[in-house]
Amino acid sequence: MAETKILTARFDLPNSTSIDTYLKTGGYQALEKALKMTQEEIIEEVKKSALRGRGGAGFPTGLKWSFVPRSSPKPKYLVCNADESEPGTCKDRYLMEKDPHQLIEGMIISAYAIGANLSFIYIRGEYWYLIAVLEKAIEEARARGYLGKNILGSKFELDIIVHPGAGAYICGEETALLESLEGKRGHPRIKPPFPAVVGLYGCPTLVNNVETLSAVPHIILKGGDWYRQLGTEKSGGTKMFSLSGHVNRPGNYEVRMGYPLMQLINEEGGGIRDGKKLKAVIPGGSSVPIINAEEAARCNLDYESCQSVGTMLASGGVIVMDETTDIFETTFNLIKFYKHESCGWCTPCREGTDWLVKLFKKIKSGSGTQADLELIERLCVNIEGRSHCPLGEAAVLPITSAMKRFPEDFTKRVRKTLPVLQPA
Amino acid sequence: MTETVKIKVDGRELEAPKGKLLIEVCLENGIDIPNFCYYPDLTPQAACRMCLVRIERMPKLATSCTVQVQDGMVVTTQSEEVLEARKGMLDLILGNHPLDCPICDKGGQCELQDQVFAHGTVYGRYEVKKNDTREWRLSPFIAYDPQRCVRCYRCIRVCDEVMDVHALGRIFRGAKEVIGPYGIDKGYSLDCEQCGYCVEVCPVGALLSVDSRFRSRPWDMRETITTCQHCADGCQMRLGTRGSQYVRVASKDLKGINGEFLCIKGRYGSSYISSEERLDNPYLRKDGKLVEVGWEEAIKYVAARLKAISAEDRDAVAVLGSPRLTNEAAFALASFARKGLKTSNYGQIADVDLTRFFANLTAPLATHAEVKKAETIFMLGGDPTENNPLSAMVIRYAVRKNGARLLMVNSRRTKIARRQAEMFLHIRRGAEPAVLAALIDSDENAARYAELAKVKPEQLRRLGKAISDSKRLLVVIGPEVNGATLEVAARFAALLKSDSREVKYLILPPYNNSVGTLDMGLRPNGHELKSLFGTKIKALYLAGSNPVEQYGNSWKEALSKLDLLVVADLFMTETAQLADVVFPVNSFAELDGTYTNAVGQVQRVNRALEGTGRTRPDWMIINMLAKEMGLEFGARGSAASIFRDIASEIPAYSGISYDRLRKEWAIQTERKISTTAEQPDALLSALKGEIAKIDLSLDLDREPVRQGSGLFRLGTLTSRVAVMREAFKAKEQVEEATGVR
Amino acid sequence: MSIISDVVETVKAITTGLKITFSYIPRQKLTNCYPDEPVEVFSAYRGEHYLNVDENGKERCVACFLCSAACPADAIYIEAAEDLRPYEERSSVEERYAKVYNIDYGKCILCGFCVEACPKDAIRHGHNFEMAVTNFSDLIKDKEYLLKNRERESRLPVVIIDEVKRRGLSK
Repeated sequence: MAETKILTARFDLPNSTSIDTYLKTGGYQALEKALKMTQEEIIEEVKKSALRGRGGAGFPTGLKWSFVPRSSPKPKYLVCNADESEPGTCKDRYLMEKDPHQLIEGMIISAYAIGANLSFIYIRGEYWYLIAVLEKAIEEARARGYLGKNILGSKFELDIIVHPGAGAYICGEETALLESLEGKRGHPRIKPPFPAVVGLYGCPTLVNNVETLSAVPHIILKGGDWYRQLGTEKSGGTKMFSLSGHVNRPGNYEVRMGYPLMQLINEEGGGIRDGKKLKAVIPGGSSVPIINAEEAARCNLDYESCQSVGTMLASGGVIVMDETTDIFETTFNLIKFYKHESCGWCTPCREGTDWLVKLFKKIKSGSGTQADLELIERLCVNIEGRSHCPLGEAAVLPITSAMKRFPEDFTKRVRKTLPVLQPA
Repeated sequence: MTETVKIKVDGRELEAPKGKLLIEVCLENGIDIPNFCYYPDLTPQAACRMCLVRIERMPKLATSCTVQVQDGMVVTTQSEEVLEARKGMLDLILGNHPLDCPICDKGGQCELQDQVFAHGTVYGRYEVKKNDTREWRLSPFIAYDPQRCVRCYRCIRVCDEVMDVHALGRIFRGAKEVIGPYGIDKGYSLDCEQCGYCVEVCPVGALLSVDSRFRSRPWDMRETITTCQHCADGCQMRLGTRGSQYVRVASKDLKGINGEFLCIKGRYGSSYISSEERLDNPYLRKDGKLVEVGWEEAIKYVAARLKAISAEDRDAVAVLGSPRLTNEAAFALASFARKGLKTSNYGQIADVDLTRFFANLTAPLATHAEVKKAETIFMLGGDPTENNPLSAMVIRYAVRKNGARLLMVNSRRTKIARRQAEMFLHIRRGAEPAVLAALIDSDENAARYAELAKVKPEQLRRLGKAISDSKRLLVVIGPEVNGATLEVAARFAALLKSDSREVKYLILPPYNNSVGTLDMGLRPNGHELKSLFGTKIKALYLAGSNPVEQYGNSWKEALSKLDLLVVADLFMTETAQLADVVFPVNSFAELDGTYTNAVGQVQRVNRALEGTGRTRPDWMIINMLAKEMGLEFGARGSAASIFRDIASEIPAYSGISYDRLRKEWAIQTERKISTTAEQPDALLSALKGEIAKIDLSLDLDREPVRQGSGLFRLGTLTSRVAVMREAFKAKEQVEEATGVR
Repeated sequence: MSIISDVVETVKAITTGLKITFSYIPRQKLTNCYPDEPVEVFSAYRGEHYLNVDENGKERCVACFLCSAACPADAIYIEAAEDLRPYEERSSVEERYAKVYNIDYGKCILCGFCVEACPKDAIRHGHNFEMAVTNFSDLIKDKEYLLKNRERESRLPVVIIDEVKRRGLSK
């Protein structure tokens, strides 16, 4: 087995959510170590680790932390983005369900590093059963003096509040998440200013993904260099991948960065179901371009390699599709999701996704023409890069990539149109 | 001073202050950037994506409504790529737009229409079925058609930020998103001030006024810029008329003192000019009943009676105007009384005696534009939200945009006190003189004044500190400040003025021409003259007032004691029904003239309608009467020539002419400002009597001022506005029946 | 010049003239014996207007005012009104309809701009040209009259020539 269990090390232990289990396996040692370090030292360590945001964008975490103006007189906040709604991704759920203290410890260290005294876990509304797990863990941590006033005698103060969302994909976008947290409708804000400068209630706010924060204790405990060498030069450490689709053993697997994609599918995933051939893979959750088998064979699971085959690592939701899959149907399913989740703020995303769904319906019903496919392509151009937040782009990337790589799945469904003579 | 930066737009070098929005810089320099969601003074939205431009060194096309200019920025607004992106956006917007322009009231004034025309061929490839939605009536005044909506959220932002009402929001998500009040799907209606600002800013026909629905089309009506005649703010508005009928009031792209702001009365409160109830002929009482007669007969009758009564005792004839008359009418009325009838009993019926304020003024009046820039605002009484909406708007603006400190002293929990005030002293009713005295007097008496006003002495001290800390102070005086308190309030600024502190006043009089009629010589002595009715005064000429409706039976009794009552009015009011003769007059839409607003700005009233030809302006009736009676008082044959007389006789108006008003819109009259040094002791002794009048048994009025308590109140004019009458009569009935307010 | 040549010239001239005259006698006549016979008009003839209705007999006009805006003679007067009843119950296609629709044929120059401007195909030119009246105010035709004009088309003393067919352009 090539899994490298760092974050998932405790998952198989009995009673893994309890603080006793956590403490027995080296828990909160990183916190004790961190509280003896200065804020700069912690950030430096994280920078050294080459840890990159695990939520999807892959922004270097240490750099993001250093953007928070620690000299600002305003209060600073840490927000944990646990609004995991990306189709194909379910790693955060597992991390919170099996090892909540790892996240809490990571949050305390991160909050200490940026000087925040209040932090939030914005959890997806559908994860209601995790709220109890997290709150129990927070209670335990508070009882042992890891949370509250004067943590471990360091005069550092922190409290964690678990806030459930109400089931909107857009609230996974960090500024929309902050709006939602403030009690407003979840719309993305205009950037700049970025949340690190003007975030929650207008104060500097650090927003990090569950997996990112969960990795922090390990980095502090064992050092940034150790973490970095687990992965590649530019993307350090390990990452959890949610393997789903037509594989024999779907599930969450933690592997080193740079792990070959096909190895993940064939070894961890146990190969394609029923011995069929691989047709396509979406390597990073639904909003990244789809790749074909040939590209998948070249692809390693790190940010640079994914980019080289024209896709993105993003949140690590690996969706595997075998040769029986109709990519048109897959794409239709995705665009329906994005139409439903489009917040309606900006014209291209609101109208564009709606229009795309209508066109897909038309094609599915059999009355589509070649002109409709051209129209879809033109609409994608119109949406991509012109929407207010990345949702619009996320909605069209799967379509454009699918139409480019699997054109036959689309063209076989439409009637050919005679070329229309244009007046000279 | 802000730093200026140099940017390059389409090859043109531009200079602009750093941090200014790119779209503003471009629009100011004549570079057209299409937009829907951008609106001056509102927070940027970046929702419509129409203003996309290419900025060098930026990976994507950027929205110019959110980008702040920086030095060395190179912008392209006209390239193939940018135009293609805009066309694409239009294509998307038009996708679900119903294209029912022939039906839409906005057709012809629609920004979307303009953009589609400007961009030529949009692809128009939307062949699939459009999302069909029905129209909603958000309130008796506002209709909403979600399908036409382009989701620019101007309406929401204007409601939140400018009006501070927060009545509109976004409901549902994505393509199903609509604008509306909470619970729109359950049929809840808009709970707001019904100002219609959302309708005005809507770039398309999504939000529309119900009252002007289908009445006309923009190109088919004649629009006349005139002055609103409801409150003392004197907003400019565009009165749309078709033939002899009122169509609508709009304010789009106006450059008057109010910009595009209008309140419910301004926007919807003028349709009475085409009311069926308007008087069309003079009435004469014959055998106890008022019957329609010709002008000649009515004038002859009145002239003969007045002549007879005046011959016995000149002072037996009284002339009372109204604070709603134009300056010209008021001037003619005053001259007629003073020079023609030679009576000393003339004036107007008004509650606030502003003469004492203007006689003792120690600081200039601030225009609304100056209020916006105020740094500290001290409000002594007044509820501008309900009674002077433009003043409220500019005060809110000062607080919102410039972070002005608002220090509020009021006996009622007004909206502005609840939401904008940094400091709110909730005082006992009528205790304004005590607060004023506390500010003048030394600290040792603070406890006594605090008890009188039912506040804590500490609060008074903090108020005094905030005022003395201020750099640019604006003193706002509400209509409940009256008599000697008003006089002291006018002299109060002399104590505060210094080299480092600028002080200005803003008063909130109750009527549109309270200040102007006062200037014209109509003293607010109506209530005093009332006691002489039947004894010393035998005949009364009453122009434009309806005291019976306003003050009730005491006036009804007094008026019935008169031998002759002549009323000149628009409607057969409660007062007119008591009259011996009723003259039908022209409404503000049918005459030329001027109003002087609360801040002393003279603004034109322009004739928009021909009228029936059987009604007359007030001044013309006076002229006819005087001619018949053989009196000479310097009658003039036109409003313009009367105004020339005003300009030559009244110092504050000298130099103002219709010609200048046409060019400058609003000209502030210069008030005499007393420069004598004031002594605190003198002011305190002046206040003594008023302080003694404070009723210590009164408790605080804790009830918050209800939205619409002033705006939705139906008076003589507004009860003749069909849409308002129906909306608020029904509301009152529901409230009375259920007891829920 | 002799008398003989005079006579010859004269006869020559007369025969030349009469040749033309006689050549026209067997040809088709261009004049009509109106009103005993119907008049021939082209299908695109711009006669008195009629207001169009849809397949269910609902008025197509939505009172958009575009015809009156296009009218160079200011002959069209419209007042719009709102009818919120469902389609089946109301008399118009849309909820906005013309309460008043008057064309003043004292002003109208039958230029056809209104027909061109109409976005709803609600106003068209009929083929009636008998518009003479004895009372000037009768020249103002109201909506009811204009709506019925369509039915009157079939009773008009005209024969409508289809230009396309006549020239043999139709397929």
